[in-house]
This record gives sequence, C-alpha cells and structure tokens, in this order.
Amino acid sequence: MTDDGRQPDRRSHEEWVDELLDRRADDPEARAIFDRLRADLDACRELASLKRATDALRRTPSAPDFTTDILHTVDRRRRFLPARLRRMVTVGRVAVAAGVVFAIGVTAIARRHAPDLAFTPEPSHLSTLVSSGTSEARACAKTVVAAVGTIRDDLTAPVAHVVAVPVRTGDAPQRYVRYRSNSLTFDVDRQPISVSWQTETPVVGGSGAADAAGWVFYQDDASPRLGGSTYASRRAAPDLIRAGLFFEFWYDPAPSLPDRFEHASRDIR
Amino acid sequence: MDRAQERRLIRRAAAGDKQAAEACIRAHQQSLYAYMLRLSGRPDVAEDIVQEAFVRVLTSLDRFDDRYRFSTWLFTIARRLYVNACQKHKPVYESDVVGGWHSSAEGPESPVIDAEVHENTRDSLQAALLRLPEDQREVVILFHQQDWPIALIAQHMGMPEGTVKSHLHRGRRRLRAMLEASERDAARVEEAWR
Repeated sequence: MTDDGRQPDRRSHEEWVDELLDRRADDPEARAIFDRLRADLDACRELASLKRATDALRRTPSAPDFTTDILHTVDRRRRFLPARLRRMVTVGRVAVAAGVVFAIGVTAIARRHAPDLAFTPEPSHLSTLVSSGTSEARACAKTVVAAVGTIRDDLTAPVAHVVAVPVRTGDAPQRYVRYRSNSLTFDVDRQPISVSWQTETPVVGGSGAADAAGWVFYQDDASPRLGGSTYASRRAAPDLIRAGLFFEFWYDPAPSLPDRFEHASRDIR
Repeated sequence: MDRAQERRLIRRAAAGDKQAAEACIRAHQQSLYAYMLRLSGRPDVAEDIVQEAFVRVLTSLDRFDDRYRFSTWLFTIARRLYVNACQKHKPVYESDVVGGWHSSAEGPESPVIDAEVHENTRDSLQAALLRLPEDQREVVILFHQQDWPIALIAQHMGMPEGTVKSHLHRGRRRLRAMLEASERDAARVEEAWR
C-alpha cells in the first residue's frame, strides 16, 4: 500500500517508458510518469536513448517536386475534362455495358425458348463422331471408286486392281494428301500403270473410319514430288483419314521417270 | 490543412480543377515520399511509388469517401503499390546478384542486407530501419515519423491495436540497439584512424 492507501503501481520502467513514447498519457499523467522515472537512472537512460532514436525519424529527407510529372501523367491518362464531358464519357461507358448485358439477356431468352437454335457448335457424343466418321470413310471409298471409274473412261483398257497409298509429310494433317505414283496402280491389260492423286481437303476427322470402311491406307514419309525418296510406309492413324470432295489425278505414263506426270483433274462432287 | 479545406480541394480536383490537384500533391508529397523512402530504403523506388500513387488517386477521386482522411487513402494505395512491387521483384532481390530490394524474411545477419546496407544506404538510421522486420518498420515509421495514432495504424495495416503496440515496443528497442551499435562501430573506426 502507498501512503495514500492505493495499491502501488508495479509496472516496470519499460512499460512507463512505452506509455510516454506511445503518447498514451495525457499531460498530467506524462508529468507524473516522468517524475517517477527521474528517480531511476536506468529508466532515464532508456527513455533518453529511445527518444533519440525515434526523434531521428522525424528528420525527414527532402522530397523532389513531383507535381509537374504527376499532373502530366494524369493529363495523359485521363485529361482534366470538364464535369459535363466526363459525365458523357461515363454515360457512354454505362450504355456500352448495358448493351452487352442486354445482348447476353436476349441470347439467354432465345436459348430458353428455342433450344435448337445454336449460336455455337455443341459438343457431340463420341458415338456420333464414330458413326459420322464411318459414313465419311464409306463416302471416301465410294468417291475413290467413282474417280477411278471416271479415269477408266479415259484409259484404253479396264482397271483391274487399285492400291492406294497416301503420302504425307508428317503426322500433322496436310493441306493435300498425295498418293505415290508407284503405289496407286491401275492394272491395265496386266500392265500396271502408276497413278498418283491428292485430295483437296485436309485429311482429318473421323475416328476408326478407314478400318470400318474396309479400306487400308498407308502413310508414307514424303511425297516423291517434293523430293522424298524413302518408302517407309506405316499404317496411317485412322483418325487422320477423311473423305475429300475434290480429287486430282496425275497419270504417269512412264514410271521410270519419276517427275513426268500428266495432269488431269476430276470434280467428283 | 483542416478537414473542410481538404474536402473542398478534393471536390474541386475531382471536378477537373488542375490547380486543386496540384495543391493536393504539394500538401502530401513530402510526407508520402519520406514514408516510402524510409520503408523501402531506395530513393528511386520511393519516387516511382509516390508518383504512381498520386496518379491513381487523382484519376479516381470520384471514388474517394470523404469520411476518411485523404492522406490515409493515399498512404494505403502507396503501401499496396509497394507491396506489389516487392512481390514482383522478389526473385530478383532474393538472389545475391542484385541487392536492391529487401526481403522481410531476411534477418539482421543476412549478407544481402549487409551488402545493401553498405552500398545503398549511407545513413545508419536507414540501415537500422532496413534491418527491422517489415511490419515493425512500418509501424515505427507511421507512428514516429508520420505521427499517426495507434488506432489509425492498426486500421491501415489491418492488425489489432495490441499488435501495433507490441511492434512499436520491439521496433523502437531494436532500432535503438542497432543505432547504438553503429555509433560504437563508428567510434572504433575513428579511433583506429587517429
């Protein structure tokens, strides 16, 4: 107990110092704390050294004048426009946003009332893809047969046998798929006549279609017309084969001379 | 500048008054620069952030809520820019090839900080500040340099007032210890040269 009957304040001098430095105490309190600390040399030292450290922070370095640069940048990004013009810009922005929201709303309502109305292609089932791929491959086979039939009319003798080997320059789908001249062979009077041809449309699409149609296609390394020489054929990835609508045929009357092609084209649509 | 004056100035600047915008910049650029410089320890960083903070504030004055002080808003934006810049530069300043930006994870013994202290900062106060953990440093700067009350610092930094007080308590003592150590070192060097 103190003389006046109160409990003695047992706070350490660190806490008193903090109370002073944290500006928690008002003037009379601060004076009382200061009087209390004055009796304690360590506390005085503590307070003085901390005060010196924190006072150093008040000596702020002088700042360069940024005014011109800042105003210039603000002017560039968003000119100091009169309020009326700025309001017009804001109204314009709001109108554009409202237009977008309206368009989205109209689309949603149209979808709800007419679900068949498709704005974007819908994903299809794998079974649909396979069946469409199969029919495409069948159509491909038919078009090849029809094309051969058309060619046959130009030939002097009937075609007995056809072997087709597509030539591709890599695994990526090509703009054209060319069949090697020595691989698409028309057996005319038991004398093979080499023919090469290419499809107009890229050979991509149906999965498993070629096998389903009963046609065997092979893939080669490079077109002989592009200077490819090796014939390392391998079975083509069936999902890369698809029917084309337009076929071009090159007749090679002299297979021993690889670049002597005569050109004929047939639109088989 | 009192609150009413400040509000009027901001209203005029928001309405497109260039002179009012200029007055806003002049009123706050010194304190914001001092804060950023002490926080980052790099004048170039402080300059960039001060300019960018003012540009952002002045281009979105219509969103300013005048229940708060303009300076609080400005400092909050500057702080966010500084934190973003630190995160962006983190891989650079963590390598010891480039010693510019500092990391709060690095302790007082860090060689990167030591090199930085010797090369980039000349005064012992800045060196000592850079050795403080980030939160402590910011609390000490806001309280002792900017004279912000503890409650405002707590709000600005998103931490309880008790945590701010404890950061202040520890930060001040660490700062004092480092300043005294640097003074002792300086005295020893001076003695050796005599």
